[in-house]
Amino acid sequence: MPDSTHKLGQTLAKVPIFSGLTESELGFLAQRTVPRHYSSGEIVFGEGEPCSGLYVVESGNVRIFKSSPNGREQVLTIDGPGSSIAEIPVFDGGTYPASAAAVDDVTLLFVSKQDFQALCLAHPHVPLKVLRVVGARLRRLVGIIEELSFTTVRHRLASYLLRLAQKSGKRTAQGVVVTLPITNQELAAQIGTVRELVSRNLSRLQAEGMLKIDGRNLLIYNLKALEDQNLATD
Amino acid sequence: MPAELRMMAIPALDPVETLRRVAFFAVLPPEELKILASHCVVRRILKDEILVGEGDPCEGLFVVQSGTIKLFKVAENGREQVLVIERAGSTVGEPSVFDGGTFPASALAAEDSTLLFLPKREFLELCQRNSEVAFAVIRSLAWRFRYLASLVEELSLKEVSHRLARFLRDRALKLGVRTRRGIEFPLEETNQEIGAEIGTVRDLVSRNLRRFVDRGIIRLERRKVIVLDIAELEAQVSGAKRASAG
Repeated sequence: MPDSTHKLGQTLAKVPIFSGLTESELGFLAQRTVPRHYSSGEIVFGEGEPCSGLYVVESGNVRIFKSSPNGREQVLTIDGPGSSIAEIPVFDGGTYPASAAAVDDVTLLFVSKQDFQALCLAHPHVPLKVLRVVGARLRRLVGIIEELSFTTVRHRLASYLLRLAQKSGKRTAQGVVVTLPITNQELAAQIGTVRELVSRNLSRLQAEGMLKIDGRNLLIYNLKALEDQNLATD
Repeated sequence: MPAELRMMAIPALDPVETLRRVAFFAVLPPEELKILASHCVVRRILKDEILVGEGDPCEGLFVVQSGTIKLFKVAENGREQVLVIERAGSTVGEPSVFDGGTFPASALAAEDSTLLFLPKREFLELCQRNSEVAFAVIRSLAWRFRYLASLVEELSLKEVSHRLARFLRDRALKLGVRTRRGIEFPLEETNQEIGAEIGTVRDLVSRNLRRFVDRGIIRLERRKVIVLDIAELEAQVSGAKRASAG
């Protein structure tokens, strides 16, 4: 097997829906995939467009989102290398249920609908893997619904900052410094609100002495205090 | 009527027929449906009884034979958010069978209901040996995904007034009767219950209903809504701005 196909096969082997395929099956699949490159911000497919196949993320990150006519967006998930996206419309013959765009520079491997359907017919365990993946996605949607319905913007913002602090916060003498990796607009799309309310709530947290804003850098004085006040909101 | 008598009054239906009504079992031949039915356990549940609680381990799926099951999340402060309503021919719990987790939401009988419980093992084995069923289940999950993604869109991107307008408009389309006064339909739910369906609190429901009344879009009577201006209600659904009529 040529080296590039072997590498592609290795990438595909990591994708949950393809786990369990043999090396030769992966090689066969690798030969039929088409690599596509997208630069940061580029749209991969739009909600409502007819589905021609599914994609595997080889490198980079893809955001999946719903949008409203007035341009507001709600992010459903961000998928990184080793994920598959858009399996659903391949199976139900419908259009893409949400849009996908490149977060950073992204390489995707496109698998056509026909090839994937043929794969499923030849390998009955692939549909079972798809069932597990889609089941997990449904669970995540339920989680988003719960958050949107029951929590306030302030609460969701604080949760986001706490997660960020845990992942990439830098401890200093005065507290924990986090650097927002995204704009307020993107943050709004991820936590289900508008940019203005992100800015307003950040300012309020600063006014309350919870944190200090310095551009994209936030100094959180006391993580526990932020966590406690988050738990206390009804 | 005592609970036991109410239980017995719930009609007993043929389990094979019930299974046949489920989209992903409909592909099976009669002999297979009979075998599947033999693995099912009948469950009768009364109005307001809990079928499963959020976080309960998923041991299998439920097929609704008769009645109505409401799936919902509850917040710590008691607020509810309805996710979906399942009726005869529909199922509860099959997504959780595949990702091996617990039930992500609670399920309650909105009216006296009968269900068939199919254990996890039999369902998974069926999907493993019958690709057609597996594909049909994926299509069913795909429908659920689209539905929930729409709900996310509603909650996040649409304002309460739009969601309430859509709730009223959909009711009008489904149950409305055109009279001399407008389009009339029954509204039995409290503002709290409407809030649970559209994802908001009682106060915002009352406030927005009042706005619609003040604008002459609807009139509220005891347990009834009369839509006076369906076109304006429709405009409220999409948030379109219309030039005022007068």
